[in-house]
Amino acid sequence: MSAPRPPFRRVVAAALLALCGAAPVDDVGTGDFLETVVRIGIQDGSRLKLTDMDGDGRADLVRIGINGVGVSFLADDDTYATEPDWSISWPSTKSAWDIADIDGDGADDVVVLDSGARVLVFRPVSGSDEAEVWLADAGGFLPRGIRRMRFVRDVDGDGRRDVIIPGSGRFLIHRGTEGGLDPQPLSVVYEAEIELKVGDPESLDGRFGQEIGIPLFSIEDVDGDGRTDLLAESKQELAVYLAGDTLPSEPSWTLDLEALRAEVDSPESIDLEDLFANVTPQLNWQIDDVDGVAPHDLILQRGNRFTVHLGGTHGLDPARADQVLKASGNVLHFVMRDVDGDGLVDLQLLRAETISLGTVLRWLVIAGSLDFDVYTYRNEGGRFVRKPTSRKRISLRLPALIGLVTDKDREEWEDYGDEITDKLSWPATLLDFDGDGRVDDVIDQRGDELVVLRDRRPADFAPDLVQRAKVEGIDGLIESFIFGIVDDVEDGAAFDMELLDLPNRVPTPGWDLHLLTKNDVPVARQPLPSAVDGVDWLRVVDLNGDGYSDIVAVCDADNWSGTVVQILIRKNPNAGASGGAQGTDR
Amino acid sequence: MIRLVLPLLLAVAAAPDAADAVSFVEHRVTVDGEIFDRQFVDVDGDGTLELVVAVATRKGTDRSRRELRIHAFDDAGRLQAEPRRSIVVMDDVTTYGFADLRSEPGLELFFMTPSGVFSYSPTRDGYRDNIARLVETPMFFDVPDGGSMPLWRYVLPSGTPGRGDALLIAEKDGFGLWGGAPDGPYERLSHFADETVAGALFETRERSSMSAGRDRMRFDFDASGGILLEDDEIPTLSLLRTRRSIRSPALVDVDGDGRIDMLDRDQDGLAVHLAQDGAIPAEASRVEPRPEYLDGKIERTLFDLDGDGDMDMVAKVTSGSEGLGPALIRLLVLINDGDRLYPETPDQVLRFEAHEIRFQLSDVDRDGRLDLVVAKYEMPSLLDVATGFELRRNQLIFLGRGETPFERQPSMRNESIFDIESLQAALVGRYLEEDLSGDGLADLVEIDLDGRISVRRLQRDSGWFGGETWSIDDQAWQRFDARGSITNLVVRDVNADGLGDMISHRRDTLLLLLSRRTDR
Repeated sequence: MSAPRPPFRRVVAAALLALCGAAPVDDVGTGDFLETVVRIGIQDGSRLKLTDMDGDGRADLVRIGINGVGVSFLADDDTYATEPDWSISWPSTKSAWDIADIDGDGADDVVVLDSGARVLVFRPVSGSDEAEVWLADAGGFLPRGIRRMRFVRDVDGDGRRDVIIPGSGRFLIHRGTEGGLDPQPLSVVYEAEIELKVGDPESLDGRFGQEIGIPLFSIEDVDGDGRTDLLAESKQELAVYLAGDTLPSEPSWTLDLEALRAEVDSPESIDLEDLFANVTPQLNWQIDDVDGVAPHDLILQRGNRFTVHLGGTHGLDPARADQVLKASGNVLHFVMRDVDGDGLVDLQLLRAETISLGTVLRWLVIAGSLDFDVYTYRNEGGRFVRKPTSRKRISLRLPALIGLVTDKDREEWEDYGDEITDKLSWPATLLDFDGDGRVDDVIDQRGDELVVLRDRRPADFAPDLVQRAKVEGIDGLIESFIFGIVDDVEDGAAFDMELLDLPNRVPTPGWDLHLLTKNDVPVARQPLPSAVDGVDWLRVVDLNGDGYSDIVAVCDADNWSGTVVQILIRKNPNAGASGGAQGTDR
Repeated sequence: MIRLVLPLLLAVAAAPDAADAVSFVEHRVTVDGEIFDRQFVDVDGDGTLELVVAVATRKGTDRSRRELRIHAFDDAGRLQAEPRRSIVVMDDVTTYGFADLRSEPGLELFFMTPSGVFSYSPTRDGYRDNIARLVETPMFFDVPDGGSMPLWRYVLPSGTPGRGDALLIAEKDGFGLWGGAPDGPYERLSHFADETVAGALFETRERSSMSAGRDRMRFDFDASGGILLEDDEIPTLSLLRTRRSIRSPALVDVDGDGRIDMLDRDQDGLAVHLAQDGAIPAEASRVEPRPEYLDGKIERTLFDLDGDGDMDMVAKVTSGSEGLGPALIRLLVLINDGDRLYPETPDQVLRFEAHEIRFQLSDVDRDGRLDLVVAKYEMPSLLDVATGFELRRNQLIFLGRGETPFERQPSMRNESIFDIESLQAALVGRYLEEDLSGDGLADLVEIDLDGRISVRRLQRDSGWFGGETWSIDDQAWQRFDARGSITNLVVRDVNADGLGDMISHRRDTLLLLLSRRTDR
């Protein structure tokens, strides 16, 4: 790396070059970042991952493509080489791959399920591109194709990665052991969703098609004993595996979901007078601690009937309940939340009003409202009160919907939609640029460069929906955005919102940061790579482990020709004279 | 004159209605599991159809087991409740079908697996000394569904002594035609590659699913942020979600020589592969570019409209409308002249302004020519929505008569208007295909969302001075208590009495309403 040139000399050099008619050399920045650019054409389809593959605590660049996997280790100069330092080819055209530290040595591995039969582990940290066969006869299946499948996970919560093999109607879970996998699998039933299209010999518009979905069990502490349990649900049955020292090989208890569904009167045909009746769930259940006594409890919803089974997470008889509550109307969902802050979860129901098709059609031309009621049943020492403690309404005001589809308004709506999309996806985010240990600096896109603003984190900063969903899951978002919005509404009152206002309720932290800082003078600038059409999204991560935030900018290439990923590693200002900005473009 | 007319009138008045001599007998087949398919096939080659019911049984949480159960009809046309044969289907079977594959009389079953095709004789018990490998090749369908198994219909009857029926098979990289001597094994006669397969081999984005609560609300979406993989991702509830598809061809007699040819899609045109010497060549005999009159959203259906043995086409072309307004929908009738499927100009164009039309071709008046039956749907205007909702359904019949494929004006217009209260009555399946009443005219079979079936008769009244008026009775001629399913009702003559029957199934029960002539 050469020493950074003073700005004055750079200006003179650029001016001279311009006078000579030569294109100025791309300025790779103010010297604050070391840049690597990866260009992926639209036909390429490669994926990237930045993760430690050699165990040095620094993120390496993994490129997964049609021919195999290549790894460029993060070099001492904090850039990635153009050609991979290590690579493998796919063992077959039926390969499912995952990138995970399967052996717990601190370096990620490339794990491949080959044709459902073998588990192959490729360890870049070893320097060898030979596969280690961790399972030779896995007994699984895979459809043709090479695809990512997140089958290397810690299922039993022991800190070691396990391997989940999709077998014929059963998952075969091989638990991680010291230096390998337990050859005896734990077997968990699942029901694949398979749809085959077999064409039509009398049609010119048919297709042969195959669609496969393999639902996964969930891993969570079901009974609240601090150990990770396993829940497997199919159409017929719920199977719960309660962990002791290890997960049992058979379910600890099961629930016959088909029999429970059969108890509920479900409409045989579409009810046009009560549209929500067609979508309300027949069966639903939640787990939580209702009475403060271990183990956790289970609340079962069958139609409009709710039964509380204390200690139900250790098995229950659906016919025997500790409490029965009945609701009326269309109960769309229910949650357990501590609404009154007394440390006990309360029961909340979301009920939709009766809406007919006629009403919906009238909304085309006449403004109306769609109302949902939130009923809260307070938990009093482990029992819910029989009558709702509060009833609050969410009233969604609807404009005449025809306004959404007339030609005149459509352009306005499209512009509005574009505006909303821009705000939701604005790529500004927080980082620790100055190394003060606080993630309170801002990085944003301005024109064709990225800019950094120091110490500009607002006090009320909140993550976007995607980040929240990673933590809370969809259930958590529903709780926050639907049930949570009426927490501050008085009993019997309504929370009104306009349909058109809904997008404004979605957090737009990137856009908010942009508005906050758009007139600030940046402390650093970094041009975007050439031939890009703006930043799609930014990620902040410490790639080289020096405590400073590094940046990954994913950009659209010009003319929809692909994707350009710009990796920017913050030069550590305390690292000594280590030269000017360097970059590699691949 | 009066002496002539009066007896005639009396004779007409006294003539028995053919429908009085027809009744329907309800048959039910209830299984210990779930019915996922049923077919009528002349398995033993005796000229009468058998009923093949495909069932998925399950014991507790054990995986379901699939079975094919063959039921025969007795001489009186009654369905035998007990299956004549039950065949357990192996776990690795993806699809099945019937074809003449062996030198034994009747048809054989063929089972497709991820590694190829096997033949099986339904006249023998069990698999030992019965199942035989017919084709060995990696197949397109490589994951069996334990609870279902679709019927494979790409069978080309041999017509050549010493040759079994040929099979068109979806292979891993396209489709191929396989054939050979009876009793196999078969060889590949021709192969049709699909160039999209290679590109789809490496999946660039995985799909995933999420669920709210523990119920059936589920969302499918592309997971993992796309090009850059991250460790912290939104928790999902699927290990794997994948889909792929390739084009499928049509197998029809294109040139009327009595041999089955193949029609394939060639970019925007039609590749015609004419059969030669018992096989379909990989090279197209000709490629017909898409004509300019086929612009817009197109659905093409193949029929032999003029009875000359070669396939003609009816193309439904929809030119879009914006917002809530009706669209211009054209039915283009394209008669195959033996040398090309796409004529220079359509042989007939019928235009409709509607939100949707459905059409079918059937010989409604049993004159040997196909007629065009159209159901036209018009949604309400904005004014109607505000002042009173109305959905109009018009049932039209264009008879196949004269020089043009169909008459220019419909012989029958039957309009129904539905308001909000009666809208549910519009949501019915309607079939005007078979004569159920024995009067020589097709009858209208309707099935509603609850599975209730009724039959209304089509009436043709001849005027004194010539001309005809056609109408559908307002009142049902037959109503049935038994319930089928709107998703799978079939109307066809399965007991060979010349009258249509009705077949449908719900979960574990197959319902057959079989016609019976009481005057025989």
